[in-house]
Amino acid sequence: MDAVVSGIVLAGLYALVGQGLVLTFVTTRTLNFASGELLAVGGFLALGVGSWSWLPTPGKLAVVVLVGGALGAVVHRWLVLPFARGEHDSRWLLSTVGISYVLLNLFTNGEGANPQRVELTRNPGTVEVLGVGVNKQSLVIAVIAVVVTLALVAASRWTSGGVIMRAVAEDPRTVALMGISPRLVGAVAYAAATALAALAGVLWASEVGATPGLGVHVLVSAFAVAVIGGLTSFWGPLVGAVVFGVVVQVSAYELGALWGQVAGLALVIVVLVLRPEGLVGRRMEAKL
Amino acid sequence: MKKFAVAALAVASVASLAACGNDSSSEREDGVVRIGLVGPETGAAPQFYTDLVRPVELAVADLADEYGLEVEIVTVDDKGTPDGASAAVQQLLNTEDVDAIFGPPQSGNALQVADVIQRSGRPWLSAALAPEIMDESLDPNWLFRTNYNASDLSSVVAQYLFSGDSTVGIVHSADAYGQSGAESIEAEAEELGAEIAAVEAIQPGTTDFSAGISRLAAAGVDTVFLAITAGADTATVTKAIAQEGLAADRVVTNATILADFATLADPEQWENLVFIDPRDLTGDTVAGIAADYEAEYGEAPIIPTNVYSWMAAVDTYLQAVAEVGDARDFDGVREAMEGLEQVSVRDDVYEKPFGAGDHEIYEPEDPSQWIVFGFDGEGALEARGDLASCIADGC
Amino acid sequence: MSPNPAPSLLDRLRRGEAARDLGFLVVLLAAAAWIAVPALSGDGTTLAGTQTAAVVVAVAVAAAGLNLLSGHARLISLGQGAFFAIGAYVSAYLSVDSALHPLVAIVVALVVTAAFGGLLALCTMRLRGPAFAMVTLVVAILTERVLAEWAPLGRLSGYPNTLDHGSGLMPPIEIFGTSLEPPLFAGTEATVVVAILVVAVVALVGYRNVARSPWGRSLHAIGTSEHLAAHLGVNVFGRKVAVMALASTYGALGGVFYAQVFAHLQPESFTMLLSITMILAVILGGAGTVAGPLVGAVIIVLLQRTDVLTPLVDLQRQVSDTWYLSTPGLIGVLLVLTLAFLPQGIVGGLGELAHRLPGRAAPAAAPAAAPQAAAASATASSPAPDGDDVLLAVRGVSKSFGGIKAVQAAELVVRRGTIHAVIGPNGAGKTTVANLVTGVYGIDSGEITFDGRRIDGRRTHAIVRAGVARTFQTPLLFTHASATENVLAGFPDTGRLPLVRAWLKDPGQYRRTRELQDRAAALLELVGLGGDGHVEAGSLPYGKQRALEIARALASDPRLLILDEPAAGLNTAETAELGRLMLTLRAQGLAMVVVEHHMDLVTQVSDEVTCMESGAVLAHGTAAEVLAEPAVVEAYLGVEMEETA
Repeated sequence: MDAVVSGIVLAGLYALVGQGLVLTFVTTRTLNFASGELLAVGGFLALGVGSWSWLPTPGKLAVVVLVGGALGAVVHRWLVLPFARGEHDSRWLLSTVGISYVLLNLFTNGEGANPQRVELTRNPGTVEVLGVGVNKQSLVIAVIAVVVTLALVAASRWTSGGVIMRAVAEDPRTVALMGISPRLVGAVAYAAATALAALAGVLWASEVGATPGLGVHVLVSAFAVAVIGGLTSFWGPLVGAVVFGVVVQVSAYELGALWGQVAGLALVIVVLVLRPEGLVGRRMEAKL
Repeated sequence: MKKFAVAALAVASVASLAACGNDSSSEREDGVVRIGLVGPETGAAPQFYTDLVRPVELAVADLADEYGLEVEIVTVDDKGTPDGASAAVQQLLNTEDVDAIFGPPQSGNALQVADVIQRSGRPWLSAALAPEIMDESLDPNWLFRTNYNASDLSSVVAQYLFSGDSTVGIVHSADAYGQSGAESIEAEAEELGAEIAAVEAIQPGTTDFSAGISRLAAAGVDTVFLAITAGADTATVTKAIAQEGLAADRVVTNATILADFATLADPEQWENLVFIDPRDLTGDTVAGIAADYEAEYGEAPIIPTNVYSWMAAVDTYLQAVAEVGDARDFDGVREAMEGLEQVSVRDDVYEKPFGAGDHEIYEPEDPSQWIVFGFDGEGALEARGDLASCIADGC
Repeated sequence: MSPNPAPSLLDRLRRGEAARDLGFLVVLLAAAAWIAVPALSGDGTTLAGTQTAAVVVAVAVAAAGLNLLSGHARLISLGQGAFFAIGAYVSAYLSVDSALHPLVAIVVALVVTAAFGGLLALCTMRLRGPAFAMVTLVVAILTERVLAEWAPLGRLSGYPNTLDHGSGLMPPIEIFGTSLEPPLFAGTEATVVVAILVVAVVALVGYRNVARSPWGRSLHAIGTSEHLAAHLGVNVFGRKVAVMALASTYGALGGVFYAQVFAHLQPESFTMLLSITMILAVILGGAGTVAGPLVGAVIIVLLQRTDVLTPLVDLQRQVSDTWYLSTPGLIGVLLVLTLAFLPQGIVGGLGELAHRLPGRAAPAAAPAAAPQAAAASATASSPAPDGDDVLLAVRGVSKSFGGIKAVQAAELVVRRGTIHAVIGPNGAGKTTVANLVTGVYGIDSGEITFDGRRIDGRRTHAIVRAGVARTFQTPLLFTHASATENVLAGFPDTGRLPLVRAWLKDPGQYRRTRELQDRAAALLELVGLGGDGHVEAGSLPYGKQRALEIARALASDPRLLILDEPAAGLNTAETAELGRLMLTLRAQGLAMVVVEHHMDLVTQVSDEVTCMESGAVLAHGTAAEVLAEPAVVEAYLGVEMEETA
């Protein structure tokens, strides 16, 4: 029971970042391998705006999220669009890996590898959930992840935005004929995804300190949950995160802490092999 | 064929550029002691390089005149990788023809080059903690360690851990330092006939360690030893201890938490935390070094314990060279180091630190040499007393 | 037309191929000598350089293998470093702990790694693009964990280590009474480097042989479109497993080199960065080009391991001492810049440049081999058994996709040496029938026979090998390759040449290459592309691309050719030319199914016509009969009037 509850709570962080991956995949069929470093940038931004005493906390958070969003649009325009021309063009995969190395190196040189304390949105301590001690900050992140998921699911179901987002990836030409710019939709998706990563970065850096490598481990797990859940469904990251979190924690409890993550990653391979579209993803028709 | 030729040209130009980069060695002058430093200038953890070069510079500035030596420092980047360290060491040994090697500071890189440096037959000073770097069976043994060896620390910690009627659990980093630390504690426990209830590993950078702690709790652990490399991970573990409500009387760790633990942790996480170190970290010497360091480089030492150890290494080496009178007499210098009466880091003095069969500066056998540190209510470091008295009277 | 007599031209061709192969070998040997001479000097100052050169060689070999997987077959792997690590550790473990002879240990390590790679490929065959990359990424991370955690491999103490083995170095390989010493100690000749260089040269020559062979062409086809590859007779599934195993073996070989050079392994050496380095070497040098990964490996390893970039770092630090990029960051920038400005990589980009240089006109046109003869050989069909002139029979075949009935009880009979046109409005299920015949989809009910044998349920490549070839609604060509290369891909060798023969490139391969070159030239001549052999397929006008596809289909010696809307996009003259070509082919005994809207063409060439609507057969008969059917007229009227006009 302990393992299940803590697994679910732990999953929130991954689901939040994984949701960003789904957003970009649904609209552009691309993924941002620099999400982890952008998450770390969120942490450092929080460090930067932390000293603006004239701005209340929600304002600071908004600044970080907006700057994150802008960065996302920049990444899309300069690092994804030019490298995703057509179905067979996978250069975006490597260009985002490339920029992740740039960011990691830049921040290691500029800020040092040691963690720096972030006070913005700090929630120290634990709270009991179903009789299990749970880290407060993780719980906050999990709640936000659920809210974001519900918002995205609702938006994709009940607004035209959702239809547009799916259509953009499946038939960009028709969508363009309808007067909607696939590029704009892609840019918005990247902005939203990166804003989510930045938000996760602030929240997580408040817990463990801002470091250049803050996002490396988070991103691996976020990929895992997005793949397990399915990259084509907004429910995917949440479902995937719960499954991943529980598997990781239960195996960590049963086999030892280190084997938890190994089990989680092994699960990714199992899912990809047996059900490439993910647990709740839609099977994509092979178009010939 | 044409494109092949142009491609070959491109390759050749990069290759020749690279070759030029290697030719930067200067001619050595007679009578100048040439120290080679190797560390991860451009690796993922450049702080290990910074806090190798700076303390050596500071100590050389202090000591060269005192010993009447002219000292030249040569630095090489090991890029933070084992094969980078291998090439860097070859460059120091052969191209730069240094008289002694200091580094690499990271255990994995030091392990990669250990045999090569040993066979080169030149004095080697290390502050890396992994016990395997020191191959005691070698004769002559060229390695002198001016930091504690993780297994020695473990046997000291074991004396402390098993001194009461306690159930001990271990959490270690999944890296060279953490693994060997945990293994040596286990070995010590076996020797003492004590039992370790649980051992858990933590992946550096892990986001949540509650599972590991709950396994410790399930095993009834009340005393925890943390063999952890980064303070941030220590914070993750102490957080999990609070979260899981593990009732630990004592949480024992090591000085690596000084690097960043205090900036991350909250007061309740400091409470039961102690670590054992042979250096008087709250003393005037450490404070003085920190002040000089900050005056010179504009920031506080990043890894204060490494700074201290490298300064000890400089004194060890330069003293021996001064005694022999010729840095090129490698055997002589090695024997002189073995026979040193004392090694000092400013006002801290270590009497007869080395011997023919003893190349470790710190001895695990004498609990009075080791100091137990903890944190006060504000998170400031405080010395609780030496280990001997702590075991005898509690502290 | 070239006035040269054919034999001398053939001689030149032969010399060209062999000379190029020899040239590559000479370049490799020169580079090897350049590395080996200082290594054998025993001079200590050369050791750092020799180690770096050895790492370049190890990474180049691993990157070469990766190029076949990620460059040719376009299965992007972020995990080549894992195979490198497995090769290094398994060979070390078997020789130190299991006390096998090191050479045996190395061979076993290569086999084990190949098996692991192949097994992984078996599990992930359905995946492409990001999903495949993800699996390899996960494998790389897991491998890193295992190396750091698994006690028998020494964990972070390294392998071997003083605690478990009494020494931190692997003993040198003893062979023929000499020991192969690593480049670690001044005064010792680094003989192992010579052994490594010899093996590396052999491996790289083999790699180049494969890349330039029909086997390599099949990988290129898989990378372009698995659908196409299958229709070239390639067992896509098997070939993907094989290329993954081959790439893994090359990765492992690189790791074996690494282990022999440093004689000690630390898990810290085998991080994700290693895998990224290898894929970067491929991309930077030129994915899918032969020399690309080698060039890329040299550049990337030198950038990483030497101080070439230091001036650039210093320059930045003069501007800002806090915000600057050092080597890893600069390599990231380099990666992005390469992708942006040299998407084909250095070698690929230079190749493109060389193509555009003025003065490089198309070399002398194809040899004047008689097109008729070649065409005749292309369609050498066996005489029909008595009383059975049916070649293809589709009987009562139905197929639905998720509840939508695409084809219902379709009937289609094609007689030997005849042309059978399938007409009908868009969405009538014509192309689906073609896809059912070539096994792209399985049928729900009914049966399909070819030459009297059931072919439904068989996989595409098997059906193609039985004698069915086809073209596609939108031409599927290797747009960046020459027209000749495109036709060469159509020969059965693409699917059938065994890997070992491709790797060894025995003299028979040289003969076969010349033969295929000649036949390709003849086929191009036949379809009216005689002078376009060296033109990049993508730059041909649309009509010629169609013709090129037909030439490629003919290369497989088919007995049945399925043409999917061959006249779409053609002008009147081209359509007439197409009609003449089809009649020529029919005269030589080739049977054809042509899916077509163009009624003039249909009336001109077809012996029989089947009209489909909504997945069902509406009418069947001669062109005149079918077009007279009121139902057919109704189906077409107003809908496709403009096209029939």
